[in-house]
Amino acid sequence: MIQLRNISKHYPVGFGKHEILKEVNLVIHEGEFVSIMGPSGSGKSTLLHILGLLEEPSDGEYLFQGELVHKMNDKKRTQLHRGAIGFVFQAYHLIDELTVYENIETPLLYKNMPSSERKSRVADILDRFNMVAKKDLFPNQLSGGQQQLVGIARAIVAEPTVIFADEPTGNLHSDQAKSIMELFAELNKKDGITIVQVTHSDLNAGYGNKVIEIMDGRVK
Amino acid sequence: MIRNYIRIALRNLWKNKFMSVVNILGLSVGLSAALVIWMIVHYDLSFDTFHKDRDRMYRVVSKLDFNKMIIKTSGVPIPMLPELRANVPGVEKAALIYQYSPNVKIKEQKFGVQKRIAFAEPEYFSLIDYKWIYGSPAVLKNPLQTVLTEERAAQYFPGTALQDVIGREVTYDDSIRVAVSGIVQSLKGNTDFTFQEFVSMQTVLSDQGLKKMRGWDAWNNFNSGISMFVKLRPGVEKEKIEARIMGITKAHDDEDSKNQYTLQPLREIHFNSEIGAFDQRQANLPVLYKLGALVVFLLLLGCINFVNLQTAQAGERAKEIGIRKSLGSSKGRVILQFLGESFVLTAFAAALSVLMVPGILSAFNSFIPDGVTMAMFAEWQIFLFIPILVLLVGLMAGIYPSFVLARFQPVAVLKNQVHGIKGKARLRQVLTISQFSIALVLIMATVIVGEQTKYAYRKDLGFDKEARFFLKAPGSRATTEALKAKLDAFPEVEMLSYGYSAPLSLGTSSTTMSLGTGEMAEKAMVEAKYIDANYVPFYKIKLLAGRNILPSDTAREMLINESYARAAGFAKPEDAIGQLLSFNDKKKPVVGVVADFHTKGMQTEIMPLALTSDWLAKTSLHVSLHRDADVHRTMDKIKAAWNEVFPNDEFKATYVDDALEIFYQSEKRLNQLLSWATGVAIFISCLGLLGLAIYATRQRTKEIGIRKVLGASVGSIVMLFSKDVTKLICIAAFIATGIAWYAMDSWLQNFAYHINIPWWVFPLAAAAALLLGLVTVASQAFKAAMVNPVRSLKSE
Repeated sequence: MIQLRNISKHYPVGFGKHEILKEVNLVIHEGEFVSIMGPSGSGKSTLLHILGLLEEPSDGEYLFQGELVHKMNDKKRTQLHRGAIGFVFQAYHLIDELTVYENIETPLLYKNMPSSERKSRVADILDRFNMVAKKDLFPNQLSGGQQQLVGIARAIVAEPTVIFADEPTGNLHSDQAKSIMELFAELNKKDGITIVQVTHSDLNAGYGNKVIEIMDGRVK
Repeated sequence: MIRNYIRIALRNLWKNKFMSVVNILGLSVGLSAALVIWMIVHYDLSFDTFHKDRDRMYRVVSKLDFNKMIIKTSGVPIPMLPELRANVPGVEKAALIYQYSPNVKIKEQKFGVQKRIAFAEPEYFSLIDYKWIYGSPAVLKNPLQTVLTEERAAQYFPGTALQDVIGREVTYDDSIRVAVSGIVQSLKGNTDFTFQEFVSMQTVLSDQGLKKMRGWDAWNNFNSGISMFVKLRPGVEKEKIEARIMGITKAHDDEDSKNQYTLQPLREIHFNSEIGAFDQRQANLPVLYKLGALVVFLLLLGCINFVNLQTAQAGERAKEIGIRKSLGSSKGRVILQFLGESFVLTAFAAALSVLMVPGILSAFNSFIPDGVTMAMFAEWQIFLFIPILVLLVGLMAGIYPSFVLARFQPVAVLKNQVHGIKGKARLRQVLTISQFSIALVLIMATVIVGEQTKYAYRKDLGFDKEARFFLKAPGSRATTEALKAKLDAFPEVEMLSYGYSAPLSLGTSSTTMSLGTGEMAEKAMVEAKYIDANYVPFYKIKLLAGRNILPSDTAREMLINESYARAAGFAKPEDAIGQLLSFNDKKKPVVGVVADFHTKGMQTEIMPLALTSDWLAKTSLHVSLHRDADVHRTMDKIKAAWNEVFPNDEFKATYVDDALEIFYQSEKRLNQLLSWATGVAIFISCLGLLGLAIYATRQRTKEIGIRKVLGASVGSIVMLFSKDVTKLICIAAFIATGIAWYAMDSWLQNFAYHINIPWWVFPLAAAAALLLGLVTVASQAFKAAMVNPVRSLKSE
């Protein structure tokens, strides 16, 4: 479902340029659980952002579900963000002004889903994640692990085909990290959601079924 | 979705309470001013909108051309009326109203001079529709009939049932005895047609003596109390009728007459102050325009605060925007969300502004018509204006920040690459400069208007106005002389003089005179004052050449002022002495030249003036008292003397000092308005500055901490923050100086005698603004600098 051909990314620095990604080629199939690994500054996050349509490559071709991404207009990309793609961030990135319930509901609002359906979807997710009691709390009233749980709930509520996770357990201690990774594995197996995560940890990579190692902007 | 936006908006407002208060206060002032203006506009526009077929109704008005003097008036010759009815087929109906202010007496009870009385015919009531309680328009076909409104009936015959009022007698001016033959209801709704009493026109028309005396048969009577109305047949163009009227009057006007007659649409009556509306208050368009401009400025200031604070806190909102975009929010949705916030905020401000309206109404009652009250909020045009205003102002304030915020790229935000919007700092500087420029221009304008008003009050008028008053005598010459004889006997009275008017007065008598050479040699309009021999010494008017006039009751000798002597071509005042001045087809010698004195306010240049003795002078008695006289006791004595001579008339002494007041009313109002606007503008601008300062110090907490660890003193940190605001206000001061100089220079041109713009106004205003700005910013910087650096560094 995802295919990268000779993807490069560089920023202009002075008269030259700073290369982050160099001629990356890779294929991710539907239903895979891929871990992107590599040292700090190797370009992992940039690669994930390109995959998630948040950033544009400088060169090369990217096909998402068989379509050339650089030919898509803003509207089409927004459509993909609303439906096909879900994000989980290291810093959770919940909206501080919204309650747990409202945070999870937000992607559905952007999909213009009718209110009754929205309610039942959010209720299902809250139920599944055992967070019904916390639905009216604000993010700053939750622990890090709980916040990330809300982050994942929000990512899957619109039933995406792929989730991009940027060091999802980076800010969590090991117990919490374990349960989050188990959740990802379950989503991958039971719900058939493709998962692409960036991680430092071999342990986390172990939950997936494919590892892409990146070093100095190149895939090894 | 919308509920979601509103919820977030409310939570954000609550979270940033202080900023919300700043924004709400800033916007509410402008909004309340806008509301009040709209109320006035709506009130004025609602006048006389209820008349049937009002689009076909006009008032005939005249433009009288007296060579160099044009007078516009509603007065038209009364004989035109039958001509219009008989010979102009496009006119469906024609009627006239002739205002009349007689002394009213009922049996032996005196009601004094009554207003809102008019001569009318039955036809008037077929144009303007009144509800008749008793009688019908036909009663006015006969002479000596009058129709009262319910209110007037209750005033004249208190406690009498309306049906019993019919048939009662009312006496006008002790001579015209009429019978009440009908009762009508006053017109409902806002109207300039507020007549209370209609006297049948036949009362005058059937009495040849009265008719002649009042000039009702004359083609050259343009009394402004006359208003002639016509209703045109459907589809008839008003220009055609105007041409017909010109044709009719041509036969009766002088051959070289340049007088013009036009039709004034009914809806214009309330707005054309040149012609007037039956002596009723009219819409004051220049004031409305000025107020409108002020509203725009105040709203602008409030909106600038909003834009500044929204873009300043953009960094803090950026994360939310990034997340929303990654969740599939389009740019449009982000814009909508932020616009929503500005609408919610503006709605709060609007609610607050409604509460401020009563205060404004009472503070500015001299500008605001009495009919404009809080009760108007019940009308949908006023009520609906509030949401429209919220929408407009919300859009004006919110559109720019919304677009800026919506432009954030989610990846930049989520990577924590946004620390405020650097480029937007420049915009905030520009906006702050504009804000302070507006405030500074207002400060400067206020000071200059104040200085000019002070100058106008203090300038030597060329005569002595202190402790002098005059009494307008209502009676004949004999009674005035009787009053003078009584006052002459009082030891407290220093001097007495007859004079038609005070040296400085609102009214002007002008007549054509010729004297000397040049433009004054032919008949030219010259202001004339009718005085007695005491007048010049009484007012300490300086005599430059020749002598004062000798006592006389007729115009035998002339005094002229210096300007007249110069205009008439005399190099020295002495040269004018003995010259003959022709006036009323008679030649009179000039016996003296007096120094120029002001007969009007400082707006008006001193014009050629002639003074002469005349019996007209005896309509007013001018009085000055000895310095050591007990004013209270003396006034009581004078009042007692007055009551003996004029038992029926109220005693009223007019101080010459007060006459000056009338000329500067609009300047005083302008000053009041400007002072208020200045205060508000400074308040809003400083609030905005305070908001920005809070953000700046919050953002630079870490920097302050590091500097303190490196050994910076509190003072040097306060200096660091004060530098920027000093720069901005200095730039604003330069801009404001230019604008204020230009604007006030052109305002001062309204005055023939005015101050030079004092240079110190500009640095003074700048210093005041700088002081306020520095106090605002430095207080925040000081607070931040006093924090222990360990704490500020930990917070990162």
